[in-house]
Parts: sequence; C-alpha cells; structure tokens
Amino acid sequence: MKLRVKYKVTEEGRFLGHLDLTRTIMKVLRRADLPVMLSEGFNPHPRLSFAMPLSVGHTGDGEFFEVVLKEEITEEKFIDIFNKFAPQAIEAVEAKEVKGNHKSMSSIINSAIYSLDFVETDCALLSKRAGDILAENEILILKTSKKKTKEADIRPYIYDIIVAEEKNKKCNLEVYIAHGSKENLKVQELLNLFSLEGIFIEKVSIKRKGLYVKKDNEYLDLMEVLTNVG
Amino acid sequence: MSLIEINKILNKVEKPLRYLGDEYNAIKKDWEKTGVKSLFAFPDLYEVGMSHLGLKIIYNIVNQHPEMLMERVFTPWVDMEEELRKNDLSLFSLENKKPINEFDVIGFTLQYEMTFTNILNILDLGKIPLLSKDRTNNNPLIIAGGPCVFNPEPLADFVDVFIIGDGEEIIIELLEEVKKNKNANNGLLNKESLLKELLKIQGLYIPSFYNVDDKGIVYPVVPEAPCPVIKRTVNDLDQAEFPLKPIVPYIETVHDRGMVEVLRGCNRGCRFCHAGIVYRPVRERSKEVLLDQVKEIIKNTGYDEVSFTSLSTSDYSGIEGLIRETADEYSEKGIGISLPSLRVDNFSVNIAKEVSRVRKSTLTFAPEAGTQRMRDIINKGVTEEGMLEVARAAFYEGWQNIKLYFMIGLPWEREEDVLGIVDLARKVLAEGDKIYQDSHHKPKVTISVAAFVPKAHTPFQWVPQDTPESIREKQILIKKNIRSKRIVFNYHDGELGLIEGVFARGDRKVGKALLNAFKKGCKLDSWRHFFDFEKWLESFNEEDISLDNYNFRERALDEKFSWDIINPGVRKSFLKSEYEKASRGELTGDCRFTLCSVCGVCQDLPVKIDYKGDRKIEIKS
Repeated sequence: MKLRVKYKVTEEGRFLGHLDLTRTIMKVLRRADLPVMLSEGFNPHPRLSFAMPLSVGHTGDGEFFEVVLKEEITEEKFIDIFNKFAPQAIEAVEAKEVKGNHKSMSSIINSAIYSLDFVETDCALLSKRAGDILAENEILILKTSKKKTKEADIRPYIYDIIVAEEKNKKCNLEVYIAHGSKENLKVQELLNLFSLEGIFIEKVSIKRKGLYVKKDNEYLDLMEVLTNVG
Repeated sequence: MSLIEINKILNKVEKPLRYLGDEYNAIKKDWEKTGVKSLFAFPDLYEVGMSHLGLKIIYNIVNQHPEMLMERVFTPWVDMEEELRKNDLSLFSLENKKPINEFDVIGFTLQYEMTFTNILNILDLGKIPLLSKDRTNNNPLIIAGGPCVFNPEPLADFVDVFIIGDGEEIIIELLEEVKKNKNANNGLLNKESLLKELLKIQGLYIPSFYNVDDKGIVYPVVPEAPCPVIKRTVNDLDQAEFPLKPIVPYIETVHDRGMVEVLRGCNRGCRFCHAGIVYRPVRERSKEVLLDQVKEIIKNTGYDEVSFTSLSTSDYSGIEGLIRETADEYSEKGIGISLPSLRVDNFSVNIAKEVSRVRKSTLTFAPEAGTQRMRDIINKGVTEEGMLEVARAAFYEGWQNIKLYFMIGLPWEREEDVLGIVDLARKVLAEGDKIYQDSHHKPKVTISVAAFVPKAHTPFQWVPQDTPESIREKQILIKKNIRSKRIVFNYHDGELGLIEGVFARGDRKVGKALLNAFKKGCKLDSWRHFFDFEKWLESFNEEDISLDNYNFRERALDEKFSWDIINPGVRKSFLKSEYEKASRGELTGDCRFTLCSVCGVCQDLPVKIDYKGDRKIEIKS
C-alpha cells in the first residue's frame, strides 16, 4: 500500500537540509520497523518520495512524503508508531492511503502558503507595502540562475498577502504564492520586497504552512486532493 | 546561554546542526539537579567527532550515572568561531547550551597530534585560561585521554589530569572524586585537594606532581606520585559497558553507521604501529554479545549499516559466523555491513564477499611496503604472492577497484623499496586485467602512500624521521614510474608530518611552541587548507626549539625518554629487541597463532589476552 503522510518540520528541524530530512525519515521508518518496501538493485533504498524540498532555516506545518509499504497498516497506527520513533525535528500529522492512479505530488503542486513572522517592526508600514505590492501590475526583479541574471516579473506569482498586527511590535504576514515545477516564486524574493527602512527582514521567521493545488481561487491541500479524486 | 543569542548566530553559519544538539538519543539532563557536570570535548569538527567510538562509550557510561551528566562540544568551524568572537559569546555545550566554563570537568580526547591547537582554541573560545597554572577553582578541571596521552608531555602545561589507557572504569572513579570534593566544599571544586585524592587512582598522570630535568625527563616531586604511571585496561569486553543507544546525528558524519567493537588491541606486531602497542593485549567480545548489540543498535538508531570495528577485524576469531549470521538476519531489510581495512589473505576476500550481499564497497588492503625486505623490517607478514592471490580473488568476485595503503620514509628504506610500491600496484592491476580481459570493465588500483612518522612506545621510537625533501623525492619517483592511468596515486606533503613528529616524540618544551603557534593563529591543522607550515616554523624558532633534534636525530638505545613516565605495559626491552630484529629483517609472530613473544603486557599488567578461538594461548614468563 502507498501512504501519503503529512508532517511538520519543527523549530528543532528547521536547519535540516532536504537530504538530512530524507535520511532522518528513513531512520524513523527503520526504527519503527514499519514494513517499508525497498527498491530493487545493488543499493536497495526505501521507496520514499517527497513533495517540494523545504528551504533550510524554514519550518513547515504541511509537508508531505509518500511511502510504499509491504503490508497493510491503518492510517492512525502509522502516525502513532512513526511519532513514537521520530526525533524532535519532525512530527507526522496525518496519513492517507493513495489508492488507484495519482499523479506525483511534485507534479500537481502549484502553490504554497507561507507565514512570515516579523519582530520589532512597524506593522503599518508592512501593511501599506503589502497593499502597494498587490496594487502593482508588474514587479520586476533580478533573478540569478546558473551564471545568468535576468529580469523577471514576479507579480503574477503573488496571489495574496494578508497582514495581521500582533502585540509588542510583532506582525504576521500570510502570503499566497506560486510554488511548483512550472510557476515558482521563492518566498525570499517576496520577502525582499519588504526590505524597507526600519524593517529587518533577516529577523523574520519563515514557516511554510502548506503546499496546495490551486484551482481558480480554491486551495486544495494534498490530502484533500486524494479525497476529491479517489 | 539564552537561545535567542544562539539563534542569532546560528542563522549565519554554514551548518547550524553541528552546534544544535537535539539529535535522537542525545541525553539532556536537568542542569540544576545534576551534581557533577562534565563535558566531552572533541578537538575536531562535529562530523569527525560524532564518528568516534570513544565518545559514544564514555558519554553513555557517564550519563547512566544518576548524579552525573556529560554533554558534548566540538571544534567549531571557522564561520562559527568568527560569530562567537564577534558577538563576544562563549563556546557552548550542545545539550544544555551552557558556556563550557560552567562545567566541573572538561575531557579532551587526543586522537591525533595535529588536533592539539584545536584543544587550545576550544579552551580559548570558552574563555578558559590555557595554562593549568593560570586556572582557578572557578574554571573546570581539564582532563585528557586517548592514544596520544601515552606521550603526554607536550600538553603537560595545559592539561590537569591525563587518563592513561581504557577509559571505561576510570572515568567514573575520577568523577566520583569530583562529586565528593564538591560535596565537601559547598558545591564548589577545590582542585588542590581534588588532585591529591586523584593520586590514589591508578592510571592517572597529574603533571603538577612531577617536574622535568634539563633533558625533559619526568620525575615525581611527591612520594605518592606513581613513576611510571601504568595504563588501565578493561579485562573483559563482554562485561564492559557499550553504547546501545548511540546518538543519531541529523547530518551526515564521516562514519554514518552503527558501530560494534569486535575486539580491542592487536598483536600482529607491526613495528611502526602505535595503536598496536598501546591497546595491547587483544581482548575479543563474544559473538553472542556482538549479535545482541547489533540487534539493539539497529533497533535504537535506524541505521542501514553496521560496522564491525577494531584495529584488525579480520583477525576476530568468530568473524565468519558473526558476518554470516548478521547478513542472514538483515540483508533482506537492506541493512549492510561495513568493515575497516582488511588483512591481506584469501580469508578476507571471503569475508568481503559475505559483507557485500547488500552493498559492494571498495576493498582496501594494507601491504604497507613494496618489497619483501621492507615488509620484513616492519614485521608485516604479507608476501607478494599472497597479495596477488588476494587481488585475483577480489577481481574474480567482481570488485573492479582495489585500494592499497603504503608507507614511505620507513627506516632502512632504499630506492628499490619505493619502486617496489609501484611494482606491486602494477602486478595487482595486471591480475585484474587478466580477469577482466573479455569485459568492457577496466579495473583500477588506488595507492595511498603516507609518509611514516615515528611514534613513542614503538620499536621505531629510536629512528630518525625521514626529511620532507627525501619524502618529496620518493613521491616524485613513484609518480614518474606509474605510467598507467588506472593506477591512482594519493599522497600529501611531508611538512605536516614534521610537526606531527615533533609532538609524537616531543617533551614538555615543545608545548611552548604549541602555545606560540596557537597565538599566531594556527588551528584546524589536520585540514590541509589551514595548515600553515611557516607559522609553525616561526613558533619553534622563536622558542629556540630545534625540530631536527626531535625528528631527525637517531636516539641512543639506552636513552631515557620523556614518555618513559608512562608505562603502556609493553616493556622497553621488548621494543628494543624488536628494533634490533627489524634491523636484521627478522619476523616476530603473533601470540594468537605462534608462541608468546613476552612483550610484557600479560606478564606485568592485571590483564590477559582474551582470545575466543580454538587455539589455547600459553603466556610465557
């Protein structure tokens, strides 16, 4: 059976690179003695796949992996056992069986919601800036990739920004952006737009709240996709 | 330290996980409620230190004690050091994130001479005075263990107490005294009275109770101070504590696998080998105990590989059964076995075959020298025909790349011995070519050639070290003669070996140059990129210390050594006779397979060779 597992990357886990995370999850599965199916060949590996890698330094509330098991196990039991053997860096939240044919997670994800926590900041200024950004028709930034630098319009990849003021000069931004193999915006590129006088973007804590399949204005999370189709 | 402060700098360093702790199986005890606070300080990077078995063993033992805790610290990488210094923060422990000066005891492991500057750097980053005499009761007691303590004098000005030999039992004895001392002094350490109490524990060298004469020879200044200090040994490995729940790092480490120690010590008697003397005698762990440990470790860590470590794993009497039973149990779960370098014989190829049921790794052998003459001088019982037979078997079993370890700069070396390395490599490759002649595969031989550095307490402790110029010539000679793209030649500059050599056979005086070099910025010397030979030379010159006198002088047979203060159990008379036999190219057998060679360990120490094979060993007097 194939399971899709939603998990969190905690504060303790935010410095794990994607490879560290993969290795960590493999170890949890082995410690838990879960009946993971191995790949064929000279160097057998657990059959495990991931959605989109999370950047180092970010936490995540809705991360996903899929694993193929040799035996049936209930979704609840999987979560229980997994968490019993997980280190502080990760926590499984939900598991669902992937029945029938489904496209790979990485091919269907097209958007993400990030939560940005600002401290010692001017919330009014942030709020105004968010409004300005959304009012623009075009936002050109310089994108660098493999020795090439080119100008690109990122405005189409910014879907929404919701500002919530909190106590003690703290402020939370919830941003909805394009995120996937076709259209993609790095959250850091969006954050850079808020680099204004009196706002220290290097102090912002970044959390990826979830990965979604966006259709028109509806954001379906990867678990809901399974229920809707399957 | 506050997490806010630490978080601020963690965001700026390359690999924050090196400093964060929180790994699976890490033990974080209640700081306020635990009486004795100790810190294991590994003077190299996290990735190196977390691969070290000694750390796992000691960490496990101390943390099992309800009134003691042990945390970890490693040499920070340069980016982290810069952030700490810039922000005026102390180096902190991984578990409770405490400044290292707040511990009662800091224990360093001395694995390699070229990490000595890192020890000073760790103290300095913890705002702890480097010299023992400058430290007060408000600073931790600084202790050190590991193989390099058998020549402790270069660090005698910096370290309060050296632990000589196996640390399993003695560490708790020492910390018990720390506990008593703190209880008697309202929770504060009184080092003066503590050190006096520690004199009663066998296996500790406490430099403050000794003095040195103008030749660097150590003598006691109080009647209670032992002379020499005799090493401690664990007598029964089956009874010894072993870490079954080792910490599982998030990041990849050098040896990223579970570890079981199949045996300790090696009696092969290679005359250049330091470990082969200081870890004697051979003590094996029973197969049943090992199989249980493998099971527990895999269950508790989730590793997909387990390593059977020791100085010479193919010598373990139960190796075949151990590997077969492990492979039978775990290969279908995708859990593999890894072995350190193998002895040169066919038996080893059979083992390797069994091991490769899950993954095929590179095969490594250590003939050490290129000619029979030289192999006899160093007492390496390997013949050319034996080596070729092994190569044939390995290529036949499907390995395409064989790795060979050699040394140059050995005593009585001639040009023919150096060329012999190339010759042997070529013959090994020819065996591969024969086997792969009808295949599109092209076999490869990698030769790693190290420059020999004479070490204290070995039969070669009397010989002059080869000069970097001579080493360079020999490297060029090898390079010129290889003439095949499928023989890969790995080597390093000889300069680092000079500094290593001066600490390997140095006395208390060379510690002054160490301090000077550290002040000039020497650190991370084992990372070639940071090694600054010019600075080291300056440091020695300024202290008026001649490197040549330590490295290139042939020592007289009756010379007293600064390291004679330490007794590893092997008698100096045995080393002397081995040195003389080397000059005649005579071999000495391994007492597991031939007669007892009366090295002194089983005769003089309260420990006996523990061999679980069929042959009964008779210890001669």
